[in-house]
Amino acid sequence: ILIRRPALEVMDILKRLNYNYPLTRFLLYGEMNAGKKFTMTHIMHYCRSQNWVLLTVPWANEWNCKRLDVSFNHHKESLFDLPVHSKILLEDFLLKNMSLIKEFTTSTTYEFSEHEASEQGIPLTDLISFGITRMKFANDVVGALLKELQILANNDKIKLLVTIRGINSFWRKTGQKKEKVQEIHAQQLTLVNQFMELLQSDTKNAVAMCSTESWVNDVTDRKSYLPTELMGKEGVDFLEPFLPIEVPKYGNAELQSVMDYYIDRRWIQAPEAKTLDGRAQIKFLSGHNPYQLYRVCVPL
Amino acid sequence: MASRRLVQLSNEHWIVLNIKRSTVHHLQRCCVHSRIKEDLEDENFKVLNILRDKDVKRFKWEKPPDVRTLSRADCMKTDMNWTSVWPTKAPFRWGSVPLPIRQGYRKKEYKLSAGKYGNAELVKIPNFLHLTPPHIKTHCQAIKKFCTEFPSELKNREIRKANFPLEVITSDYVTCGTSIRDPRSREVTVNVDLSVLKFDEHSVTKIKKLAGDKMDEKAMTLQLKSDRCPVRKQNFDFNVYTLTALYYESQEKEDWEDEMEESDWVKYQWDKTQSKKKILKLKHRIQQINSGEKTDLASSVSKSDPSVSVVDTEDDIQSYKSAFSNLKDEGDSRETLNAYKQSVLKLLKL
Repeated sequence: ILIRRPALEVMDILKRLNYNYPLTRFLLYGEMNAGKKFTMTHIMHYCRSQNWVLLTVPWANEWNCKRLDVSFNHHKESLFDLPVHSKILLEDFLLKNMSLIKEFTTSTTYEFSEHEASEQGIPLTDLISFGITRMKFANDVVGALLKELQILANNDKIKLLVTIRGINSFWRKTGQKKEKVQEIHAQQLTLVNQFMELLQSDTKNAVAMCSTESWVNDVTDRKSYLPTELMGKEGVDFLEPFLPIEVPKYGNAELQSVMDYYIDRRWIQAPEAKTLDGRAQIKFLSGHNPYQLYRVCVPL
Repeated sequence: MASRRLVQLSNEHWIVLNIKRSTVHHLQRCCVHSRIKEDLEDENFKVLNILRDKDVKRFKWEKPPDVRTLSRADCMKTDMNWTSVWPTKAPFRWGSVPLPIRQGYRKKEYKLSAGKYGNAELVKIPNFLHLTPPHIKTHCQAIKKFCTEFPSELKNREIRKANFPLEVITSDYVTCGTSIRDPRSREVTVNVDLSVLKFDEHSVTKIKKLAGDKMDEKAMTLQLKSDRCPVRKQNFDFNVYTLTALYYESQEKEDWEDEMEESDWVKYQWDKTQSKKKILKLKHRIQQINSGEKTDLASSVSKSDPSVSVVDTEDDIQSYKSAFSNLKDEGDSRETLNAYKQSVLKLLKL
């Protein structure tokens, strides 16, 4: 069983945290493939076992990729919607938190357009399924959902964990172009704006876990892994005060335990690899990097 | 050219005609008629020499003596005085230089470059055989009686730097040609030690911004280079002018300098940023919550400016300020980020 220190650190802080305070922001950073995602999943699992509501954004840079389904926002002229991604987000949310949000209902009416509107007091699940079926309004539904969650958290009804993987994509240009001419910056997407509002709000009982990834940058630009370099000045100014948590590479003990696990699962077949000498070789080849260890053990 | 032919003569005798021609000696051609008559009297087969007579003494072209066998260079001793051989600037004389020099391009790769005998290329290029070390030594000896000794105190670099804060560097270029001028020699570099001048905090940042790359902050030196004027003296004066301008401008403070924006700051000043407002607001909220006040979100927004109730000289805010400024100034490393984390934990009372 592998338990990594950063996860323990965060869980420790979560236990001690006074949940009446406004939103606490954690920032996981580390070298490429050091295991940030792994620690995030660990923490998410822990929070789930404590019955928190999870709002996850598995890969924020997806919103920045080259996708052609962008439409204009009805309420604000300058922002762009992402219907497909919003739908995926809603589906994901519903799946994860089905049991927890059954009882809750919306507090205000949300008008999506002239004809369509959701009334006050309908269950949240209905709102979400409405968003899933009507993709045109999915982005607005996401916004409504976020507001609802904030209200619920403030009323001490739920505890909210927001995880965003790759938050440094919020301050980059997307690969998309408005009508194939003008470039769109991530700040012009409604989803990004909604999440930024959530992160800056003063809601109680909420924790945000973000991670900066060097994958977000172009292939040429991936050398840096430190948070201020990746997020830039805007990002740091926006996110502070945050708690930076480093996810280091494997230590010796961790490496041994991972290799034990591989051997136990019959992944490493070659007999030489199981000896002490072989392990030392593997350790050297992988350079203590979790992903590299995985790659090295694959052909064995 | 020599050739043999069978020729029929007028009296129907056949003789062998053996022609031997010599290219040089036209004057020595004998008369043909007389020769033939003499031979016919003998009525023997005789070889007919039209042009050449072996007995006549020919003028032989004597080869001149080979100059290369014995030149001055070959007769020189190894310990001779070179200054007497080559006293002044002179074109290259192959006979006087005892070096096996080669110069020139050959089309065929296996051939060596041409030697020094009669080599025009060696004459064309400038030579400095009049300025060898023995020459320089004699020159210096001649000048020495006019000089005084270099002060021994100034041999120490620190003392020099302290006493002479201004360092002027110029370059002279030597060439062996018709003209001694070189356009590169107009460049002047002036290195200034700024620690002798008075600077306060504002003027240091200002002169750093004005000078840019030319100034070294840590060592407090300014390096001014100029070659924009045609004459060396003018370049030096220009450098002095830039120095005075930089110094006096940095002492002055303009009104519009106060409007400097965050992106231009040399050091991160937390007091003027938005983050201060954020932190104070956060602190205010924490205090409110801790003291058990019942506040809704709506009412807290409409409350008075939080900075009134929260004193910003408090311990955890100060530590946050220093940690955050450190993070911004020095970039992120494990230490700065750790310090920042500790300060945030302190702020959240963990």
